[in-house]
Amino acid sequence: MATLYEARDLTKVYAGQTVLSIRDLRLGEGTCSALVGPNGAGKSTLLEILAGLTAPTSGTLTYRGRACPRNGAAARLAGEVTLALQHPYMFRGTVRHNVAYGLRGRHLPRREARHRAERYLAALGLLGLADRDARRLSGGETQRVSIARALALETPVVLLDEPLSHVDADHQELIVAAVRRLRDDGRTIVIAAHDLNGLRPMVDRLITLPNGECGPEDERRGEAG
Amino acid sequence: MSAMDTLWSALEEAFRLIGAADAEVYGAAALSLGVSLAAVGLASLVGVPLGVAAGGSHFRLRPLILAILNTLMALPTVLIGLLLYVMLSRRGPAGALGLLYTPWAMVLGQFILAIPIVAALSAAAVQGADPRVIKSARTLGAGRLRTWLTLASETRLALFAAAAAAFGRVVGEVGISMMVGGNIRHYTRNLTTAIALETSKGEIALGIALGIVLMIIALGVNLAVQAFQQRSPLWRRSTRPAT
Repeated sequence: MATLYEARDLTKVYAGQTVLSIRDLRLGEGTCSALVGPNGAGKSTLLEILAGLTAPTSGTLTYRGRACPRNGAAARLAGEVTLALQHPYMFRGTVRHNVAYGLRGRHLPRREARHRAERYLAALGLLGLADRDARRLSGGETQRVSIARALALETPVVLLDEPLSHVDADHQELIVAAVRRLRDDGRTIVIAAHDLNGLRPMVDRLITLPNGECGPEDERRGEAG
Repeated sequence: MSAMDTLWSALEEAFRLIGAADAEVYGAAALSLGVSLAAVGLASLVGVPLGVAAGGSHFRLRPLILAILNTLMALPTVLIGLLLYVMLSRRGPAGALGLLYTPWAMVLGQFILAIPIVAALSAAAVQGADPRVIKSARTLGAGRLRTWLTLASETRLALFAAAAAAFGRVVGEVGISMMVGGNIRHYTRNLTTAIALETSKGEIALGIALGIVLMIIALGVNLAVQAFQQRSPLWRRSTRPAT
């Protein structure tokens, strides 16, 4: 299985404190990996680096064998990687507007963009909220909108930061089903979570990040990494 | 005449001028309004993108650029007027344009005055925006330009406030209007140059009355902005009441 991401001696330092330190990490294409660890372990930081949002302080990161430059990584990865943030920001406007945000930048035919947005609104149980002000949603609803707008882009790589946080049990099942469909489609998925719950059966590889360091005892299933 | 009497007669004079539809006052008021709106409109076209780009990006020279913009906010109007006079005078580099002592020269001067105000306040607005705006836009595939447009959209009330602040500054300036407009009756005489003229003639009450007319215009513009912000769907925060 082809290696999608390869990180070597990757560190991230904020205000003099090392929040992430990875000696060697490879993520295979089409796999579902989970980053687990306590709060502050560096899970979100690693996802942001993988998404090209944040540059590592040192080390190298390659994507499909090409080195990601410190700057401009996001632009290069933009078409292939999307990240649903742990604390998502809702743009001014409706839920539908938010789910369609990324699609508008993709120059999709208007009809196709609308249908795709509707499909992901339905998949995450948001159709009833589609015309609601996105800034007046509960935490769980906001989380589902964030996931819906990320999934709607149908990128080959999907990064999910704490996708089940604030979401009630019924709606957690919708998110789990959506992730299962992604996995069945052969997409590469990386999930950061301190508690995987229903997502656990879909995970090929469990990567522990204790104290910002990649744990030595990665748990693997199948051909991951 | 006591100070209170002067103020009282100024108030009476202001309302008399407004009620009497005095052509000279209305002409000066229309010129003040037109020149300042044109200057701020043009300055917003330049200053808002400049401010959003400077405030929404990280590059080495950003602190210097922001410091320069903030410094330029303190530009004395008389200095702008003087520099512009040198440029536009018959022997100046732009003398052939024949703009000196025209309303266009006043627009140009106020435009220069307004740009740093709009740009610096726009930069401050986007710097104060939620940092997740940029992250969210980028994770959803937005390039640099679309990220800036999103940032501008998310901070549009503050950006409009920046333009309103610039309008407040330019509509009340006198140095530029006097130096490059020339205070020509029925042509380049606006409310501020008229106030300066009346004051120099000892017509204190009339000067204050014209000042009151100027403030009424500024109030009217700001009320119009507020009404537009609240009524236009472009500015509306929510599309449906929360449940």
